[in-house]
Amino acid sequence: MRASTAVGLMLAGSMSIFGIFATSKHHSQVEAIEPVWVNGQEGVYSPSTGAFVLTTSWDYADVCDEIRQQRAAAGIYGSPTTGPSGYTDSTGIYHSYHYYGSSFNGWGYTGSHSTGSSSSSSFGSARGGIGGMGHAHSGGGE
Amino acid sequence: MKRIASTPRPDWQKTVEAQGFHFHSVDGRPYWDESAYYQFTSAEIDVLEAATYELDKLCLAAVQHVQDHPDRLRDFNIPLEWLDFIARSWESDEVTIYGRFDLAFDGNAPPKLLEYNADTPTGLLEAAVIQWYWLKDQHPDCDQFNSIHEQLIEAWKRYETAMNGSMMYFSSMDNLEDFTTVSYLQDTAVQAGLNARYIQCEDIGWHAMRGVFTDLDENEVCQIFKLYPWEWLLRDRFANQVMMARTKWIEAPWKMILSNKAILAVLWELFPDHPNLLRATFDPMKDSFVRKPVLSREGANILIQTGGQTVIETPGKYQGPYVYQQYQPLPGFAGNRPVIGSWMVNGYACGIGIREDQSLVTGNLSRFVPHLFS
Repeated sequence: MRASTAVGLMLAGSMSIFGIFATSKHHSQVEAIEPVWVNGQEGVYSPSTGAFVLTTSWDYADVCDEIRQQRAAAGIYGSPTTGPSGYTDSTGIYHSYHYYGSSFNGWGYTGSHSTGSSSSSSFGSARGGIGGMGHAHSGGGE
Repeated sequence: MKRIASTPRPDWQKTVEAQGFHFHSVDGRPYWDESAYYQFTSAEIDVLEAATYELDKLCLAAVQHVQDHPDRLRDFNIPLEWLDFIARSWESDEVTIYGRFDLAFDGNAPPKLLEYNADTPTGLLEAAVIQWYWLKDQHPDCDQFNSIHEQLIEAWKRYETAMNGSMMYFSSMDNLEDFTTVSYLQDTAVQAGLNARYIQCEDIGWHAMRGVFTDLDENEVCQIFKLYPWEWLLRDRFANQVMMARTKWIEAPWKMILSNKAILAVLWELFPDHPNLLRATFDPMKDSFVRKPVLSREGANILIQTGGQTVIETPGKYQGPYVYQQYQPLPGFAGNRPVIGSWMVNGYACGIGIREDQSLVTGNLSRFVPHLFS
């Protein structure tokens, strides 16, 4: 069903990228806080208090930050140490900066990121308008 | 079709990691499980291949039906303002790269469609690459239903001519499995000759003055593969911008009809008693059925009832509307229940990946088990 010659080509090609992401900055430094399911609800446990916090809670970003700090202290992940923890958009939904990890372009990013508006500023694009629905779930694939 | 116990390769973890597969274990237990494999006859593979082509044909007819009866989008919980957007995508035959039919199959009765992951299927690297190398290491004299990798490259080659040398972006959430899937797809695109770049979903920008989506360097994103489901995209903050921008999204918008479980009921309406379909309705069934939210994912919020009794109800945060599907018990092999993921890539039925679980519901932690045929 499948030609073996093509597979040899595939190996050479796939290693070109897969060799990179084994050590890529993206995955060595970006946090990946994986929520867990408890009694049919998704959330994370606070390392300090042990409290279970729903992903839909406003406290969720703070607990993620707590987890991030703990991981950073253990030298597992990079971690920005200053700046706001997130913003509230025009519809009142809170968006955490913590999801951005090292790919986030710095605190106080140009334009609307720090203001919560969904329109872009005159000097840059607004970001974070795609992916919000995914934060309440665990990835977009199935 | 048999399930055969097998001795895993020594250091199999290092082997698959060297092939780019880093989520092979979950909570210390194998997700990639080569302690067994499924063996098919050539005739059984032919049956699976034929059923996949047949289901693809039925699905395309169902999309056309929905286009001809646009009020049906209500059944899919898709806001009607997206009607023109979807219709334009369908009428212009926008690109589809891949999709995965999940089938119940025991080697004897015709394969039955459980659902169609038409928009954001994963399990791709495992099916296309990892199980292939397992076959070469463990059973080099046998064959495998698997030309997924080659068809992916062919699919991108078809797309390349329309790109005129511009950049193809690949995007996912910050999730290892998703990132791996997208990186693999990006790799196949590069092998097909495309210029490709990764951008995380949240980093996609909208430049209001230019009216374009942008990357982090403010370059326009003209075409992008997103491992991010349409039902989320059209409810995100940038949903209106998605509708108005000229960016081409892959999978194409019309695939949101097929990835929605409402398609199961529409298929049954159009092709009742088809041997590859299970009876499915929007109206509640009695006695034995599976209730699925039309927009649920990865086995969440599935209710199985048999003989009037609830057998299992999985957790999750999805709600109705629901589709009700005739209960089709998955075949049991030593207590394991496999679901066949049959891949449709570049218009070809080109391979399968098998996930099994001891639960009645296949979820995101169900094990991936390789296969061969002889």
